[in-house]
This record gives sequence, C-alpha cells and structure tokens, in this order.
Amino acid sequence: MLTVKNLNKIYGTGEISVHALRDVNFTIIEGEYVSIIGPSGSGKSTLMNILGCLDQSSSGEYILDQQSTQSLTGKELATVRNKKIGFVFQSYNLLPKLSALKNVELSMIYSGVPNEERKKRAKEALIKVGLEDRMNHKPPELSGGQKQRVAIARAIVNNPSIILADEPTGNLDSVSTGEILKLFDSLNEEGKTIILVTHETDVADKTKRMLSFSDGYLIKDEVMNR
Amino acid sequence: MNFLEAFYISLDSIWSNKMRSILTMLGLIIGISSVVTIISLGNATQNTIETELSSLGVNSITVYLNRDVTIKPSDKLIHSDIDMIEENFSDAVMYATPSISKGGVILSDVSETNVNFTAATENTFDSENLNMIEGRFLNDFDSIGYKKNIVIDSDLATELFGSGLATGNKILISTGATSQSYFVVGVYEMKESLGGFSTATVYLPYTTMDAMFNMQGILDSLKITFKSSVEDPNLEIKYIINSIERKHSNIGEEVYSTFSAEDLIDTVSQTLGLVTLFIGAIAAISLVVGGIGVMNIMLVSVTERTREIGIRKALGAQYTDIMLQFLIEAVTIAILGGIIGSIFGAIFTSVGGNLMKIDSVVSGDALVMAVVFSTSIGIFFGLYPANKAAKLDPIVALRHE
Ligand SMILES: Nc1ncnc2c1ncn2[C@@H]1O[C@H](COP(=O)(O)OP(=O)(O)OP(=O)(O)O)[C@@H](O)[C@H]1O
Ligand SMILES: [Mg+2]
Repeated sequence: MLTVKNLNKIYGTGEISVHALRDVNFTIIEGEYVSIIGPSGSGKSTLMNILGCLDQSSSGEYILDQQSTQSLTGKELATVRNKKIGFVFQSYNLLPKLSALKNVELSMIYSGVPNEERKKRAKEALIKVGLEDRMNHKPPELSGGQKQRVAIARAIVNNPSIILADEPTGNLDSVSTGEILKLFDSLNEEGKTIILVTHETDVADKTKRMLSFSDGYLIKDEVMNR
Repeated sequence: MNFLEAFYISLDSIWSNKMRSILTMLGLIIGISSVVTIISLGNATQNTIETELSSLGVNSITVYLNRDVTIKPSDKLIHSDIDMIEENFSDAVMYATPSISKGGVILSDVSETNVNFTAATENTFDSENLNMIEGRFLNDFDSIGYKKNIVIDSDLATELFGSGLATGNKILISTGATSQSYFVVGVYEMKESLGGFSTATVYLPYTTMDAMFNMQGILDSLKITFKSSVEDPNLEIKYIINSIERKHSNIGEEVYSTFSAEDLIDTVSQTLGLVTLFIGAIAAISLVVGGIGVMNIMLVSVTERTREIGIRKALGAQYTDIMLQFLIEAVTIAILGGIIGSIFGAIFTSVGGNLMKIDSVVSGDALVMAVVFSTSIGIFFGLYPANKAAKLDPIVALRHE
C-alpha cells in the first residue's frame, strides 16, 4: 500500500523554480491497476520518480508499506528500488551492450541472487513476456515492443509488489501497445499493483482507476467501469 | 553484489572498449617496463662488478702512503717491510708482495709501445690471480740473480710476435735515457678489463726493477694477502700497520692508509645503487603519468556511462556496488598494464643484458614492486572517478543524455 500526503515538488529555486506537484494526496492499495493521465508537463513523471524512490519530494509525505520514505538513507532507498518496485521506462533504459538475459539479471545481481538461480529466474521472466527466442539478443537487435518486454521482464523478475510504468507504450505502435497492456493485465491478475502513466485515453480505459493531473494538481480520481 | 560479479562487469567493460583500454594501459606499460628493466639491469651490473672485483682478491689489503700528510723520507715503505711482515705475522699472512709500477717503452723494429713495468716476486703470480698461457712466471732465482727476465701479457705478445711463440724472444726496453734488452720467459692471459682500455703490464723481478730505476728498496705500496683462516683481515691489518709504524718510528702519525677490494666493492655498489635508484625514480614518474592516464579515462568513462549508472541505481545498485565496479575496472586496467609492462621489462632486461654482456636476471624485487605499484596506482587514481560515479543521484544520472 502506498500513500502520499500533501506532496509537493519544486524544481530549482527563485525565479526559475517550477512547481511540478502541488499538494497531492491519494492512497493506492495492493492489487490496484491505476492509470495516471494529464497533459504534457502536468507532473506525471515527477510523481512516478518520487513513487519509485528515484527522487525525493520537496515537502509532504510518501508512505510505502507503512514506512515513511523521507527518513530512509540512500542505501535503504536502493534496497526499496531493488525489492519492492519494478520500474518500466518509456525509453526502455536497457544496457545496450548486455544481452536481454543479462539485462534481466541486473536487479538480481544487486540483491545477491546466486548465479544459477539468477539465470533460471531471468529465463522464466523472459518466457513470461514471450521472448524465449530472443534471450541472447542485445537491445539494438530488438524491436521497440520487444525491448519494452525485456524491460518488463526485468521489472518483474525480482518479484516486486508494485510496478511503475511511465508511458511504457509511448514509443510503440498499436499492436505492440496491445501486447504490453495484455502483459500488465495478467500481472495485475496475479495481484501486482500497477501504476501506469499514459497520454492515451484508450490505454487508461484498460485500467481500473484513473488519476488525472493538470499543472501539478490532482484534479480527478475516478474508478473506471470495465 | 559480490566481488566476482563486479569483476566480471569490469572485464566486460574493458573488453568492449579494447582499443581505449590498451591505450590507457600504454602509459603504465612503458612506466613499469622501464622501472623493471632499469632495476634488473642495475642489479645485474652491480653483481657483475662485484664478482669481477672479488677476483682481485677479497682476502688482500694494500698498504700505501697517506697522501694527506707530509711524508718524511724515512716513512716510505721499503722492501724490508715485506720481510718483516712475512716474518712477524706468519700466522695470518700468506705473503706480502711489493707494488712498484713505472712507465716505459718497448722498442721494436717497427713500433714503440707504452707499457707499465711492475715489480714482481714469486708470489705476485697468486696475489694477482694470473694465468700463464706460455712459459713460466718469475721466481725467486730471478729476483736473487737480478735476472733481466720478464713476463708479458697475451695482447702484447700477439702485438709483438704475432701467433708465434713469445717465450724465448728478446725485447728492447727503454726507460728514459737508456735502453736494455730483456728475455721473455712467459706470457700471462690478459683479463678482460671493465673499462675496456688498459696499458700493458710487464712483470719483472723486483730486484731487477729496483736496480733499473735505482729505487733503493723503496716501494709504491705493498699488498698483503691473508690466509683464508683469517676471519677479519681489517682487524689484523691494524696490528701490521702498528708494526710498520714502529719500524719507521712514526707511531700515530697516520702515515699509512689501507685499501681492500672489499672497500672498493662497497663504494662501487653504493654508487651504482644510487644511480639505479635515481634513474628508477625518473622512470617512476612515468608511472604517475600513466596513473593520471588511467584516472582520465575513468573520468571519461564515468561521464559516458552516466546513464548506465542511473539504470543500475534505479534497479537497486548501492553506492558500494557502483564504487566497486569502477574501482575494479581501474585496478584491472592498471594490473594488466603492470603485467604486460613486466613482460616487456623482462624482455628488455634480457636483450639489454646480452648487449651489455652481463648475466641479467629479472629482479624479483622489481616484479613484486611492479605489481604492488600498478595496483596502488589503480586504486589511487581510480578512487576519485569511482566515487564520482557512485555518488551520482539516480534521477540525475537517468536524465543524462
Ligand atoms: N529536472 C527538472 N528540472 C526542472 N524542471 C523540471 C525537471 N523535470 C521536470 N521539470 C518540470 O516539471 C514539470 C513537470 O514535468 P514532468 O516531466 O513531470 O511532466 P510530465 O507530466 O511527465 O510530462 P510529459 O507528459 O511530457 O512526460 C514540467 O514543467 C517540467 O518542465
Ligand atoms: Mg513524463
């Protein structure tokens, strides 16, 4: 479960400061499937980075599993990113020189999973996203949709409870988008909490709850009828 | 993450930037190979010189007049000192030999050759470690009889008589105004000298020499060869000097100085050691330059891979993980450079040893130093870039284009 209370994020100081999030409040419980929408520059990515413990808020609280993240050290935040959260980026963020398999292994390296088990679990994750025949390919040899599926495999392999995806289908055509969304659906069915940023309403329509942002404000929080 | 994992990641990165890694190592390869070569060749030269000097006889001490005090005629060493030493110190002294050298010229039909005349007794043969290749050395009969017999070196023999026998020939010797003819009784083997140049040394009986130059028994110096049972020649020589002083009635005036091959070895070793150290230090500077090269490339690498660092951090890498990754990369580059440098150093040492005609072995010290040095360089110059990478903010690193 995650809760944000009076969350504010201000970039920079003085004249050039940007107020990217303003007094945001919401709670997301286990197993929810939430989309975050809003125009460009409304603060969606800013929020995701804070939820993913990649960045810290300027004021307000972010409580993840009954623990306030403000008090965590850099090392503890790294552990949270490693164990509790799987992040999927719009630009994939795969390491171009490593094979798909090695990319998926990365987060397990940092949690100390032994080599054998790491390989086994990475393979399983890649099979799950339908890439059993591309395991030893490097990212430049993969299509956009395939890259994003590697990224999803990497996000789920350490078995996190929350998956954060910032415009995961932003660079993909409708076919690939459909495949990715199907993956998220099944992950949600397994009980994972999924928070997904999107521009497209037909993507948001696939989710169960929609948070709308405008100019840093959370302006609408609605449950979707599917 | 464990150490091995970090090591694999580092190797991957070094391997995928082969050319750059090699260029980075180049500075260290040059530095390490020159340090190894210089130290190894320095040690080898030192050993060679020491063995060569030891062949002069470690067991002997030369007594000569101290040039820093005024010398009275009665202070001069004379031949009866030799008899006194051999008599009074027969327990310790094997024999004492006179050292007298004077310049002269050998005249032949076609040429004149400058030579050194050196007085000899029967014992000179042993005390100078000579090897006869023809005829015999001078003996007591030559001395007693004031014989005009001489022994020449092999180079001079070849010069004067070509490949024919030298023994039995007469040669004409000029010492200033007069010239007299002498009978060659033997030829000794010319030793290869360190400097590469030397004047021929011609031995003749000390009595003959004394008469020839009208020296009235006075010696330049005398060389005492101790029995091998004597443990500390330097202690024994004190008593001998004391005796000589009593004989010349100049006790405590410090008229006599001594010199042993051991002293010379010490001086030469010290000097050579200093020279080696000095050149080595200069070469070590190139190591520092190499280290700066490593740091430079690591900094470039950190900047280039900022996004990679961001991704790794987003996936849960901690400060120590990233730190270890980059530090190991720097150290690996440095150690590889050190190993390749040592190999080149070994090659240069054996080539240089061949050219210098000395027995050269790669010094173990130098190899240990090379590895220790390159590791420290890797750590020292890798620390800053690795720290820079490790403390990057994840979101800042991820946004990096
Ligand atoms: N690192 C930063 N420094 C300063 N301002 C920033 C930074 N990152 C974002 N901003 C600003 O904060 C605001 C919110 O940005 P954010 O990236 O969260 O928007 P977004 O909703 O994700 O937009 P998009 O749909 O285009 O991705 C924008 O005005 C942006 O210019
Ligand atoms: Mg965004």
